[in-house]
Amino acid sequence: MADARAARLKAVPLFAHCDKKQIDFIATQVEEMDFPAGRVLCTEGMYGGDFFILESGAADVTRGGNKIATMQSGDFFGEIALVDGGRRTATVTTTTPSRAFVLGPRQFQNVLHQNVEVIHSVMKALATRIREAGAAKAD
Amino acid sequence: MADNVEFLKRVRLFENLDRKSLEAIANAAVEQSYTAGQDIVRQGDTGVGAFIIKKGRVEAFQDRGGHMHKLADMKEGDVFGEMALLDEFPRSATVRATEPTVCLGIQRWHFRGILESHPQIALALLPVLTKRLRNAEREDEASAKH
Repeated sequence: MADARAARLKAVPLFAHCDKKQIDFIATQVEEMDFPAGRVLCTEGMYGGDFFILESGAADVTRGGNKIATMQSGDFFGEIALVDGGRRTATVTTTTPSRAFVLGPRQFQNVLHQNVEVIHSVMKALATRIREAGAAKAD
Repeated sequence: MADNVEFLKRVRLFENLDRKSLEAIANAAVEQSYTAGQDIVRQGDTGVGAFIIKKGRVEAFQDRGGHMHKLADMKEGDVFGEMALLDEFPRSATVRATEPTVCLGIQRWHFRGILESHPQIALALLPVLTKRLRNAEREDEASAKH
């Protein structure tokens, strides 16, 4: 049972580089949850909340009522508000029944502190989003 | 080396870092000299790292469908190419020395190595990035409204 869950964690791109010890630690921090379609996982403008890695299913990302992106299996979200304690930048709503690994604020910090590769993956994701927002100038 | 730390303080990405962290990065930084007219980075090339101008002047310009569009002039203390420390996107502009110029360069793979041996640096970078992302998304929305 524990091995099957460890395998599912390792299948997620964010944790693909982790060794057994790191995966075992992440398994102690993470909750695996099932959501029906139409469930709001985080709400734009709210403080706090969790970090999500979508294992299966899909979710729409909306800002000010406009859809800006689709989350699919392997995608993660929620890190911005957890890194800086600010408000959620978008609303994420499942569009099909979905399963996700969920880390609470404390657990997210625990995983980051224990794993520099995860920090690096989060940094790269943030860098990509900054570029997409058009802020990167002479680069 | 101490004066290289002073130059590293100019890199906005490093605004949260303490002196010890900056010294670790300074150890991986390499000084490079350029003659007037020499390209330092070229638009479309895969970015290799960040540059801080120690001495001299450069200009940044972008080829927009055949038209050369000047973006900026930069001088001592200015920084360019920071994002290349984090990812491998192509350079969005060409930066060329307009007089003899000396830059302090930090290459991504060296930087990556420093992050691995100094996880506190990686952690300190995250809030700088989220702040930048929030600002970028705010500007993006503001310009979309016009």
